Order: sequence, then structure tokens, then C-alpha cells
Amino acid sequence: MSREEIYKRLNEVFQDVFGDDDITVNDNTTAADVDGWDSLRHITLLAAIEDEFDIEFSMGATVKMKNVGEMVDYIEDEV
Amino acid sequence: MSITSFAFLGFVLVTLIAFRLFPVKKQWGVLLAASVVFYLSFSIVGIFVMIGTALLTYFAAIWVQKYKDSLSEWIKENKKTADKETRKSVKASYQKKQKLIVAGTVVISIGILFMCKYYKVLATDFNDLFNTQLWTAENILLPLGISYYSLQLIGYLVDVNRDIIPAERNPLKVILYGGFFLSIMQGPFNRYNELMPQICAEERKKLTYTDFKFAVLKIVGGYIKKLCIADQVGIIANEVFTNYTKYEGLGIVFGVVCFAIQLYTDFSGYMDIIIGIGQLFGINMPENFRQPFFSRSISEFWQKWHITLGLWLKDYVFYPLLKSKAFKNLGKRLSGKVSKEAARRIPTYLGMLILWTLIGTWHGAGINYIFSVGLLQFLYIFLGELCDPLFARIKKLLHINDKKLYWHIFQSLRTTALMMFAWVFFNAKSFIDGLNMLSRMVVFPRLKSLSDVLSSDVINGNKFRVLIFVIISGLMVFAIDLLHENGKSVRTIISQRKYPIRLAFYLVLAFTIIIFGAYGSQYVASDFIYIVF
Repeated sequence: MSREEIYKRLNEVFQDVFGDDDITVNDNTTAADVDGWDSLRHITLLAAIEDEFDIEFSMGATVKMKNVGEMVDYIEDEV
Repeated sequence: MSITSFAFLGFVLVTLIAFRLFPVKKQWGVLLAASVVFYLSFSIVGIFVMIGTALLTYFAAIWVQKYKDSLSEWIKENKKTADKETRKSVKASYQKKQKLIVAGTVVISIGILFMCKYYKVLATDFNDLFNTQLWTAENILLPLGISYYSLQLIGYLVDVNRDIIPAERNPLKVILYGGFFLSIMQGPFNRYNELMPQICAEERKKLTYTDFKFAVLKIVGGYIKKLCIADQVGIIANEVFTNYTKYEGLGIVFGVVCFAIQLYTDFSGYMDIIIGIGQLFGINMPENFRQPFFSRSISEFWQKWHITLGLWLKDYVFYPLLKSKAFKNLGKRLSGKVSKEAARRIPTYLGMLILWTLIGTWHGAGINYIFSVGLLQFLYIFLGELCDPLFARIKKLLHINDKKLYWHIFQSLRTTALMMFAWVFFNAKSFIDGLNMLSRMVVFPRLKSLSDVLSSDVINGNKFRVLIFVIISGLMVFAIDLLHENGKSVRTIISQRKYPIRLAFYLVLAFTIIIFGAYGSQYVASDFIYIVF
């Protein structure tokens, strides 16, 4: 799956989880850039991404990822 | 050796000189020796429990690492020959063994912590409940810092298992991590991969005059918070909480406000001293407070209060819980039966409920702790989220612009009031005492009661002076936090001024401690509040 394709599906997940159709994420997007992306919503977001791509984030990845770029790297490796 | 004693200052000075005289590669040895001496100054038996826990964690981490290395070797050798399914099953079998080692170590560490911390309370409650003396409710020694080093060491082992860090080969370094004298009493919760590379650095920047000045200002600021504000305001808080039946209405409210100022200046003052001393050694530890009273909500408050405990619980309890099979299955079972959003949120709230119960229990076994800094906090956050759509509608109806300053001030005051309500129970001797205090506060709202508090025997001096002192203390703390909230720091502002102004400022600081500080040969500075947790 190409990175562009991952981003297309990932944007839809973000829009669904945060209830905002205008959200567009990129490699540098962090939790500080998205309204409501706190530790509670983070885990909901990861669960939604896991469902979307049929992958599982390891605990190491869950706590280590610093931005969306690293998240996409992980998805790229797993799918 | 209390950190407010001259003995501690002498101890830090000697350690710092030895640390700076030793070659950089061996400096961690100085800190290990200092940590052992520091621990021994409190307890001889306790140090064996601490070292035992550290060694247990050390061996468990080495064992986990051995499995990880064997797995990597196996994958390397069989990458081409083994199919995906075989690789997956071999990986799962290794991970299962690793998980068993981690789980066993966690159970033992938490078991020791539990026995030391809660045995007596449980035994007493059991005997009272069944009116028996079957369970001997003896005092068990509570090793210094057990709540802190146990959790830090568990974090280290889990990080090894999560591939965040490799297992440490030198057991002495794991002991130093657990027993580091600056963070063992009240935190901050350091992460192994953040603290130890600084302590065991190959090279270290020389301590410049500016570094020294900044560190000393932070330390002095911490001592002012502790000795001049927390211990002074604490006299009023202690009087009201201990003898609350003598007071009512505004008098009790005043006592609770004093306790809030005491708790914040006591805990954050301690952190400033410890972080400042760390900077003298060239070690940067994480901040534990970030202007919590400016928080717009309770969840934001907990992201700014005791920050490192919150982050530890998030990474090592909350996330693993929500990512566990049981929670995932719960989410799957709910989908279809409730809305998509509810199916996502219910497991999260259940995880939060468990987390907050644990936070309450970590503070102590009493119901007042489990309620005030546990279940009540959960309720605040849960109800806040639940009522969010309603609040949004009310705001729209009243044309409230939530970007405006007045709304921020209202939200901060609301957060502070909710936390003060919780702290009534937190500092009360028991849950029932907390309830009684609240009822006396509401049922007898007499203004004169404030005067009763200010005239009590423990407060020497005239009422007006005491009241002014509390107001100035509160305003000082507020002003410093306001500067920080706006990205400015007192240390930077002062260092940019001309020498006479800087000198005048330093003299004011020195005289503040000399004149207003609670100390002297007859005086024993109160223990820091969080030391008992």
C-alpha cells in the first residue's frame, strides 16, 4: 500500500474519531495540532486505525510514536 | 536527613564537589555512594528492600533481554526458510515467556509495596469488621520511597520488554536508578532512558556561572515556597483540619484555601529544590508541575499536576489495560448494541475508572484517599464529558465566547473549586471527618468564623497580619505561575537586569528566608506532604 493511500484512509479515520471533516494530517502532525487529541482519545484513535488497516500497534509503538509520520511508518511496515 | 536541614545542604555540597572532581565516566559511582548514604540516614533495613527490588528487576530484565536476543537470532537464521505463520507463532511463544517474567516481577514488586503500605490498614479493618483479633495488625516498616522506586523499576522492566531500551548489564546502575537520592522521596518519576544516559554520560558540560546561578535560584525559590509559604500557611490548615469542630462556615473555607496553597507550594517547592540540585550535577529531571491552577478542566489539571505520575500511569497502566484483549472484546461486543461512539467510549471510561481507583489507592488505603483523588476525579471527568453537549448548548444560548479571558478565568476558578472540594476529604483524618467539615461549612455559614481561626492559639500575631500574609503568599504564587503561563521565567527576567538590581533581588530572597522562614534550632521543618505516599 502506498503512503498516499495510507494517508487517504488515515484522514478518514481521524475525521471520524474527532468528528471533524476538515482534519487533514501529515508527517509532522502531532497531538498538539488536533483539538481533543488527548491520552483518552489517543487510544480510541489507535483502535480505529487498527480496525481500518487490520494491524495491531505494539505497546512500544503506542507510547513511542511522536507524530503522524511515525504512525504511517509503522502502518507501512505492518500492512 | 530532611532536605530542609543544613545537614542535607552540606551533604549535597560534598557530593557535588566529589562528583565534579571525579572523571566523568566514574561520576555515577559518586551518585551511587551518595544515594546509599542518603538512604542509610533514614533507614538501614529499608535499603535492603530497595536493593532487593532493584536486583530482582535487574535479573528479570536480563532474562527478558536473553529471550529477545534469541528471538532476533532465530528470525535472522530462519528469515528465508520459515513462512509467515511459523515466524508469527515462534514470536508469540517468545513473547509469552517474556510476558510471564514481567508479570511475575510486577506481582512480587507490587506485593511488597502492598504489604508494606496497606497490611496494617487491612488487618485493622478486618479485625474491626469481624470483631476479632485473628489478624495481627503490627506495624510493618515502610521503606523510604517504596511507592516511587517500585513503579520506576517496573517501568524500566516494561521498557526493556517493549524494546524501548536494552537491559542494563551493570546491576549497580539499576540500583542507582531505583535509589537515586534526588528522586527517591517524592519523585519526579524518571524514565530510565532519560535519566541514566545523563548520569552515566561519557562527557559532561562544565558548570558555567549562568548554569550555577539558574540552578541556585530554582533551589532558593523552592526553599522559599516550602519554608516561607507552605510551612507557615500549613499552621492554619492543620489547625482547621485537626480541630474543625471548633470552626464553621468561612473559617473552614479559609482552612481549605490555606491547605491548597500549602499542598501546592510544599510539593512544587520540593520539586524546584530537587530539579535545581540536579541541574548543579548537570542532570535535567522532568518538571512535575505546570501552572495547574490555570487549568480549564479537571483533565487538564491532572496533565499539569504531578505530571510524571500521570504519564507513568498512562504508559504502564492505562494504555496496556485498554489494549488488552478483554477491553478490545468488550468494545467489539458493544458495537451493534450501542452507538459507534458509545462502543468506543465505554471501554475507555471503564479503564479510567480502574485507573483513578488505582491513583486513589496509591495515595493510601483510606476511603478518603480512594474517594478524593480517585473516584471523585473520575466522576468529574466522566460527568464533564457526558455533559459536554449540554454545556455547549448553554454557552451558545448565553452567547459565551470560550476564547475570551473571562471564560478562561471562570473555568480556572471552577477547576480550583472542584479540586478544593476533593482536598477536604484528602486532608481530613477520615471520610466521615471530611463530610462533617463540609456540613459545618455549609450549615453554619457565619463570617465571624474566619476571625475564630485567625484568633486560635496556634497562630501568634495579630489577625490582620496573618490574613495579609496568606493573601500575599497566594498572590506571589499566582504571579509566578502567571509569568510561566505566558512563557516567561523569573530566573530569566532577573538575569537580564543590571548588577545592582540583581544584587537587590538576591538580598530580598535571602532576607525573605531569614525573616519569614519557619526554621531555627527549636524548629523542625514539617515533612513534605507527599513523602508519606
